[in-house]
Amino acid sequence: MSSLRVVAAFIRRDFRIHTSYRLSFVLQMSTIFFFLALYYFLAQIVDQEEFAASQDISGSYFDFAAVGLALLSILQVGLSSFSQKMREEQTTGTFEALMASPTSPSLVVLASALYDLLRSTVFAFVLLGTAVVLFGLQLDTDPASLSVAAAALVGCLALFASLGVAVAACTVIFKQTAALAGMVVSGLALLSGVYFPTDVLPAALQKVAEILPFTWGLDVVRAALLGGDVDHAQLAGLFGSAAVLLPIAVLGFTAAVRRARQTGTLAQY
Amino acid sequence: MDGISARDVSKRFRSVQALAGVSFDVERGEIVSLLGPNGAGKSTLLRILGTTILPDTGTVTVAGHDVLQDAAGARRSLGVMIGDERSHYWRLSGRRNLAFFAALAGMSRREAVARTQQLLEEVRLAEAAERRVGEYSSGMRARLALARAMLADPPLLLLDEPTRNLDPLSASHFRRSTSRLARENRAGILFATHNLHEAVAISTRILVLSAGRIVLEESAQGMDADRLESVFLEAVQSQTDDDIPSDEVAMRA
Repeated sequence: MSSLRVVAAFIRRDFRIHTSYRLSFVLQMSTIFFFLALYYFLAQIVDQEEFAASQDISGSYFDFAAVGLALLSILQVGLSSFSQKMREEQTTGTFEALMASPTSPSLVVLASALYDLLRSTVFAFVLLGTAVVLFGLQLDTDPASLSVAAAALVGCLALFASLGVAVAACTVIFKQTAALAGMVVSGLALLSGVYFPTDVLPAALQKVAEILPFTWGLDVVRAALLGGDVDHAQLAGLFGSAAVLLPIAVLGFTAAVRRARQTGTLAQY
Repeated sequence: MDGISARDVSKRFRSVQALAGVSFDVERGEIVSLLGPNGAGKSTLLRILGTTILPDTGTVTVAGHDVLQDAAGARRSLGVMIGDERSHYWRLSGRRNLAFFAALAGMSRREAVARTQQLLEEVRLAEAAERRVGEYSSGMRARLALARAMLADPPLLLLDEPTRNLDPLSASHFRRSTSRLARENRAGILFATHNLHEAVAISTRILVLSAGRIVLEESAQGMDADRLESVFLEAVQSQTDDDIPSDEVAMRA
């Protein structure tokens, strides 16, 4: 009960701070249109039938990219938000106040990015909705497919959170880690097939792509929403990875806070 | 012991010994002033008691909770006002800042609403409660930090120069509130200050820290500021010009 109260307090806090910057909210929503328009026109130069046949999905390249972009938007927030929040707390001077409270560091780090994760999920739904309404994206709305996509989304959120908490642990120790988060997002976007199918990558990179849980999540969401065959082993692998990585990341964060307490650098930025 | 107990506490930041074998107690119901020149180790000591810095050696218990073995238990018994006035969410109102930290202290929303209102009145911020903290003056932010430290009505308080940014009226109000807390709630209060008049006005006991060591521990009874100044100056002679502030050393690290 007390943990839920803490989580609710973090969400309320971040909602109020976020909505106090109104222009930022409007600008972020408007980027959806430009992103989709960019990929819509890019899709015009791709042979749609050949593309759909090669990917075992019923949609076009635009459909492929729109689903990838939706998931990437959550990945970006999942990866960067935990460390960004810790960094903000450090620079605004509130980190020490949080760490001096009775709430455990692991709950603080997990709760601190929940609002952003929820917001990015809504953002992804708005992106897909805009793609359907304005650009003709055709999604498989069969309840079974939507359930699989929702399950994969939950798995992806847990996976992204584990990576994000790991980066946040680095932030507690090394302070400036925005470049690290950016590098991981770019690397995963390149290797896991957000913008293009992984079979265009060199053979060695394809092998790497095949063992990335984010690739599994992306494949499952695309297959579920775009009429392909869902690989349930990939879905199980996604959940298995998240179940292993998230506790490890939280332990790492707790160890990082302990290290900062040891060196006396908790309050520094 | 239900107060604060420190035994042989040492802390080193690279080449600087910030604290060297510090031992003292703070009982419930007493106000202890912590005096010392800049870099004496006051903030490091308060942070160790507040669990945000770990000691290298020695033991510290807060209301019976060892800060190493049971940091969460220690934190539940402590109200902490450490750090500067930046430690608030400037885009949120004073009331919402307090409500957020009340949730972290485990209070229900109903409890938080009542306690927040009570404290805002106590620190004379009730009229500014809905304004963003970014619009507050330094003194108002210091008073908000004080209110935050008292949120969970803790039996023990750690205050790092609480009146540094307060005007004389607010500082006087703070001293009265602090004395009342110790007298009526049996709160044990340890506060760092550079103000010798303030130290003799409200303390039951005075600790002087110099170069990481307690060089004077004396009852404040019968002490006046002039006498305190002379014993303070005599006691801190041991600190050399080579001593570097511990916070500065940690920053370099």
